Amino acid sequence: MTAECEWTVLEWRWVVRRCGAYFIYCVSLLFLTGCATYRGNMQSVDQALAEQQPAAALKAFVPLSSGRNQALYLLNKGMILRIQGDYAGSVSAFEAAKPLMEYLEATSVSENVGALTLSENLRSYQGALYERLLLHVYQALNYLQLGQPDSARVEVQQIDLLLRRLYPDKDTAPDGGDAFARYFSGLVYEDLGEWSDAMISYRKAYQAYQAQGVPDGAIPPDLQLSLCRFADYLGLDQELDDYKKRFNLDSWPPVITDSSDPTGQLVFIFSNGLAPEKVPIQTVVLNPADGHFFTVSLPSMRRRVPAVTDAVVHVEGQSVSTVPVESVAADAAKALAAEMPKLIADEVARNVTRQIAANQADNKGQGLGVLLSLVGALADQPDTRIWNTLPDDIQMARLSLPPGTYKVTVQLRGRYGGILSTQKFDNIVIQPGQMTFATLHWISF
Amino acid sequence: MSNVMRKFTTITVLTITGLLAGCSSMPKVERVSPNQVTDVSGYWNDTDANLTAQQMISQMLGDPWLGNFEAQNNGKQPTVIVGQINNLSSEHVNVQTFVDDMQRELINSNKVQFVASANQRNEVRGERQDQDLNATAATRNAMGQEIGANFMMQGTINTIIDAAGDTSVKYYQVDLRLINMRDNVIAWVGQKKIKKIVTKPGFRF
Repeated sequence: MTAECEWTVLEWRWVVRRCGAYFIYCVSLLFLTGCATYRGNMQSVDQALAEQQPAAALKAFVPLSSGRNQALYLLNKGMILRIQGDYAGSVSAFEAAKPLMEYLEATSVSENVGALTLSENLRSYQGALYERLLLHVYQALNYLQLGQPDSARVEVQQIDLLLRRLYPDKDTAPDGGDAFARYFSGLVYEDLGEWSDAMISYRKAYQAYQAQGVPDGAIPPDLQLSLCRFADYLGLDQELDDYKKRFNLDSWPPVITDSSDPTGQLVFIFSNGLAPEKVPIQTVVLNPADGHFFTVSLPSMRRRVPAVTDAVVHVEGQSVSTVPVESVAADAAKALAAEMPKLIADEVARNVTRQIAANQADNKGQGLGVLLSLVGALADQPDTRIWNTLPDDIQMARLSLPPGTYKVTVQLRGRYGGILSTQKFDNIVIQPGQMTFATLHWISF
Repeated sequence: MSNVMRKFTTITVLTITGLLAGCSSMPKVERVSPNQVTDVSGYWNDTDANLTAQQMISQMLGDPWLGNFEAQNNGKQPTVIVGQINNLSSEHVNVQTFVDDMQRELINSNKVQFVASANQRNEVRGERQDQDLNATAATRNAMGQEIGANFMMQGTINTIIDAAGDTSVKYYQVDLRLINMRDNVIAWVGQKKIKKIVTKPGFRF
C-alpha cells in the first residue's frame, strides 16, 4: 500500500461522521447485491446438467440455499434428485418446499420496503403458478414411481385446491399453466378407477388448453380419446356429440371396468431439456442536469431450445412417438409478461427513491449524490430467479400392453430426425388394469 | 443530515437488519405435553389423530357389535386385522398414528384382540421359518398356528375444503368399518368429523 492511500483514523472518523448514512447505504447495497448473484451460480449447475452429471449439479446448488432462495433451492434439489432416480429424496425436498411457498404468499413488509427502495432480489422466491402446479405434478410422479398411488392422489387434490383457492370464480388459470396439471390429474384418477373425477379433470384440462389458444386439432390426441371415452361411459351424450365433432372421432378404446381385463398401460412422460432462464436487461442512464444515475433493470426470458424434439418409445413391436402436453417455456413467458407491469412500477419507485436520496446527499456534500445514485443503480439488479431445472417442455406417450415385464427402448430424436440418444428401461412391470408411469428427463442444448 | 435522508437511512438499515435477521436465527425448542393442542399450519396434526383415535375407541367399545359377537361366540373376544385405510384427502395424513393408538387402547381394554397385518406378518413368518431350522424343539413355534381374524378393519379419510384468499374451511371425515370375514357383513362403522377454519396472515415481517 502506498503512503498516499493510507488514511488516518481521524480521516476515517471524518468520513463516517460526515457521510456515515450514505456510507452504510452504499456498503449495504453492495453487500446485498453480492448475495443475489443467483444467475452467476446457475451457470455451473447448467453445465453439470448438460453433461448429464446431476450429482455435480446438486453440489453446485448448495451455495444457493440461503434464506430468500430457500424455496427455489428446494425445488431445484427435488428436481435433480428425481433426475438421479432418488424419488424418496425428491419427495422430502418437495414436501419441504410446499409449506414454505405457502407461507411466502403472505406479503412481507420488510421485503417490500427493500424491493421498492433497493433491489427486487430482496424478495423471497415464491414461484409462479405454473411452477407451483408442476411441483405437485412431479411430486405425484415421485409417489407413483414409489408405488404410492394414494399419495399421488393427494398431490392432484392439492393441484385442484391451489387453483380453486387462487381463482375461486374461474374455471381456468388466467395466465395459463394449469392445462397439463389437470390432464395429469385425470390420469391419476383414471389409474385409481375414479372415473367421474377423471372426466372432470380431463374436461378442465381441455378448457385450459382452449383458454391458452390451443386449437381443437392440436389438443393431445390421448386427451381427445379420454374425453370421448369417459363422456361415453358416464352417459354424457350431448358432451360426447360435441367432442366427436370437435375432434373428428368415431371410435375410442372403452373404459376398462372389468377387473379381469388383462390390459395394462404404460404412460411414458418425457421431460425435455431445461426451462428458460431469466437474463438481466440493465441500462444505466446519466442525467446530465444533476449527474445522477437512473436505471432500467428488468428480467427478460431466454428460451433454451433443446436439441431433442421428441422421443419414440419402442416396446414389444409397438413404436409410439411422444406428444407435447406442456410448454414450460410458454408458461414462463406468460408468467413474466403478467408480472411485468408490477416490475416496471417497482423499478420506477426505486428510481424515485434513489433520486430523492441523491438530492439530499448533494446538499450534504458535493459528489455524494452522484456516488449514491451510481451505487444504487448498479446494485439494482433484476430478479433473474426461476426454477430452471424444470424442462423446456413435457411430452407424453401412452401404450396398452398385456401384463408382464418389459424392456423399453426410448430413442431421442433431433430436429432433422436423427437419433441423438437411445435410453433403455429394463424391468418395466405392467399390471393388469393399471397404469405404470415411466419417466425420463433428458437435458440437451 | 436532513430529516428525509435520516428517515430513508433508518428505513434502509431496519430493512437490511430485518432481512439479515431471518438468515441467522437459531431454532428455539420448547418441550410441551403430547396432549397439548398445537395448531401451527391448520393441516392434519397430532391433535386430530388423537381426537380421531379417542372417538373411534369409544365408539368401537360402546357399540353393540362387540356384545353381539360375544353373545354368538360364548364370550370370546373378536379378532381384528387392520386392512387398507385409504387417504382420499388433500393432505398427506399419517394414518398409522391413530391406528396404533386405537390398537393399543383396544388391546389393553381386553375386549378386542388384533392379529398382525399383512405387512407385519411376513417378517414374523420369516422368523418362524428360521426357528423351524435353528431353534430348539422346546422353544420352536410351529407354522400353521396363526389365528384367523373375525373382522377386517378398513377405512377412508376424506376432506372437503372450501378456500378463498387467506381463509379456508377444512372438513375432515374419517370412516372406519369392521367387515365380518365370514360373510362380508359390515358389523360396525365408526366416524369422526373435524372442522377447522384456518385464516392465514396476510402479512409477515
